[in-house]
Amino acid sequence: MTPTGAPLPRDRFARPRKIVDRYDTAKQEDDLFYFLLCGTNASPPDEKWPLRTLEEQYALDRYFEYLKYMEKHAWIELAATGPSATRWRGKVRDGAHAWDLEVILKDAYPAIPPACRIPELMHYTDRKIDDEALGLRICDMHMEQSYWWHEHCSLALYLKREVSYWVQSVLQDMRRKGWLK
Amino acid sequence: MAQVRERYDRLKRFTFADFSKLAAKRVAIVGVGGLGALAAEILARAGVGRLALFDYDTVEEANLNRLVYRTSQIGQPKVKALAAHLGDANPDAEVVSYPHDVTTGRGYVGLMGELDKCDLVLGCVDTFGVRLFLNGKCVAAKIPLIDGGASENGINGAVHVVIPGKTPCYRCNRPALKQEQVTTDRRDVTGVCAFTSLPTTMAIVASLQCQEAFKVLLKFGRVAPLLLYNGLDGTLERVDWKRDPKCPTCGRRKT
Ligand SMILES: [Zn+2]
Repeated sequence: MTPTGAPLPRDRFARPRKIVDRYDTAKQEDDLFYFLLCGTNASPPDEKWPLRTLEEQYALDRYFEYLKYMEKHAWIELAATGPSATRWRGKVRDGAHAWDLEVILKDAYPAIPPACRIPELMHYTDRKIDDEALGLRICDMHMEQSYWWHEHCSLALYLKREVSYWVQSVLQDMRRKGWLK
Repeated sequence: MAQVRERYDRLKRFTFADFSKLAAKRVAIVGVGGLGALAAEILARAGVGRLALFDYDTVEEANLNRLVYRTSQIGQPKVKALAAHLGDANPDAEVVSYPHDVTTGRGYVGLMGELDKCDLVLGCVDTFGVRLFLNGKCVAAKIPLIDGGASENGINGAVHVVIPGKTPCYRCNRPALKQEQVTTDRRDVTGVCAFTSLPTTMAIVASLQCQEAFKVLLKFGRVAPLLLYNGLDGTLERVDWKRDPKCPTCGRRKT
């Protein structure tokens, strides 16, 4: 059984997988977050998308648990706006401040990373691009050099590895310039 | 109409291939910015039968340092402006334009439709994610993809020719390919993230893409899997790299 409770697909050619202890090979902290990966590679138009959404939700729940109990700082919350789970809304928090967060999973997802936007912060940075579906959003052009995204990465992993750093660097910059007390 | 018959006169003198075969070929061009617009013009003038153009952007003043677009076209969708231009440049070419984002909605549906019937895809996009997405779709559909790109500082360029099953795909050997370091510290509050775009580099890369496109479509010469252009040294390097059998996109083991 998969973590979501769905039965594993039967594969005639399935062989026992070599088990790798990720603690041995982990090079950086992020490698330890392999539990935020998804098993199903499916896009919103695909048949298997419902299974992928269950895995996404599972990963997201684990990430929020991690933030709450391990980091003791739940700086982000996010929930799907509908059963198709292609649009998500939530909040990003920093001290007394809170900003709305909007995420879209496009039809090409998970071949491309999620498109993410924090409307009120977009005006304070130029690390953004103009997106047809979302308007100004967080830029992922700079991901190329250390491109870690692949089809099994989840929305939760994107929040952890991209959005959190983006928010931190923008807020730090705003504080330095005196725009945020 | 003697003029029209002589349109391809200089191409007919080409001895390595028969350019008249291009009239039956269909090419999809994803992204019609600095690279795509030029490549589209070259292909249309050479007599490619059908071009499908994808881009959701509109013509902006900042695009005018490069070729093709005109000041009077500011505000128009790029694909529409380009289709009008190509229709005049060579009325023989059928041009279909999709003013949508290929990664979602109507653009995605349009691209999937075009993949069923086109002979070649020209990737002229600026984001890595979309490149990988195109690569994955072309490998799955077994359609050659020719991806062009310029470096962030605008001086270097690269052309990848992905012939599914033959040459390495865009995902193969990815970590082995190192480019110059990215600077992320220019964070003043102006405009959106954009890279330098030099008209010369763009024209060179677009021409290289078209050259490889002709070689793939008309089957002549030796296709270069990867071409690296260095503008500072004035060198063009051909890299004959190997496919990665464990590549998640084109390797034998499907994920
Ligand atoms: Zn590959």
